Amino acid sequence: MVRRITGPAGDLVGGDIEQKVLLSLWRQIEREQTIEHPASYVCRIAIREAVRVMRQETSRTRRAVTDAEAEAQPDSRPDPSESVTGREQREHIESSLAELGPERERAVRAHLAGFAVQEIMEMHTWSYQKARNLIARGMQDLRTALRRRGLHE
Amino acid sequence: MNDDDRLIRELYSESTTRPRTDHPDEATWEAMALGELPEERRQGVLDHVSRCAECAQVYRGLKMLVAEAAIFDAGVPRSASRRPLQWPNRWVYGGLAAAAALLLMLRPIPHSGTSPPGPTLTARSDDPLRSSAASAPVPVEPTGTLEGAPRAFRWQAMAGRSRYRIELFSRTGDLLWASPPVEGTIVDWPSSVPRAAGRYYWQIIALADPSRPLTAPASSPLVSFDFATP
Repeated sequence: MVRRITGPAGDLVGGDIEQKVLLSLWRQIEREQTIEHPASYVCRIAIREAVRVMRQETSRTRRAVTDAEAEAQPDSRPDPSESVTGREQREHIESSLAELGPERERAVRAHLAGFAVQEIMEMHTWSYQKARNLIARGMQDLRTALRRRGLHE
Repeated sequence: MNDDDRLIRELYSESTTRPRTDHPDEATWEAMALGELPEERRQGVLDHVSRCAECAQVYRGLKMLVAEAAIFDAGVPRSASRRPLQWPNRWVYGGLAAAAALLLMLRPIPHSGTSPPGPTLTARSDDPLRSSAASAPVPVEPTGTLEGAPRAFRWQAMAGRSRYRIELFSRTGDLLWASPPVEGTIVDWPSSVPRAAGRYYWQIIALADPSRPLTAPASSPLVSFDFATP
């Protein structure tokens, strides 16, 4: 059961989380005296432990990637002018996003973060049509706002 | 996506990979997975997910976890994004669970011996993960402590489902056997699994009918039985 539950998530975060979850699960079960609904109990604990392991794996992977990037660039000091430009551009995007209505902002942020329309509609319990419209109109508003700031020609 | 949109996305992605300290804690993720987070907080987590690449990955993993977990326990919310049940729904489910419990109490127990020390089959309305008997098949035998090795698995059918799969697990949770799809409500103990004394777990999964392939499978609770004499 744990293998089935944690397998796809393990693939996603690049770690074998099944073993870690199983160990934690057995420890949890040993501490309990009676389990009235084993399937429910095991599912809940598996989810709890998998979340813990997934978070550890995700931040470990990110740290490893950052370290590898730093090693690949011996002089890691950024070009000052490039750094300022990049920061300014990001600030402009943030300010422009803040100008959108709450729903358009949510839809556009999720879209820019790489979520597909199907995922965004599930996240916010919108219909497919609504999610698609919010993304399309929100992106249009964002382009207009960035153009006003001289960023999007 | 045109080049300008690609640039916007790249710049936005850069900002989502910057280190942050305001990540949701584990209890929040767990509540989110189980559909127990109030709407306002759930929205807060989703807003964070759209701004933090690390948590976006956790969120995606969580959705997969929940989808898999729901196969084992029909009570697990089908999606990490599902809204928590409103009170009227809880009452409806509570009523169904109570009716199921009453039915189980009124029917005769099919095997002799001591009462099962393991999982109970009566539905409880206060357990948010509980599979209700109205929405899942119900194991009948073997359950609890048996005098000898069981010869077959028997269950109560689920309304609208005619095909089932039985899964038998060892004491340590390893899958010993999974039946092919069976019709009816009884299947013999598999010849491939020796009837060694000890504790076992089993459950029934109601499969989708071929005419309605998109119906989600529904699982019974996992129940245990044990016997000392093969």
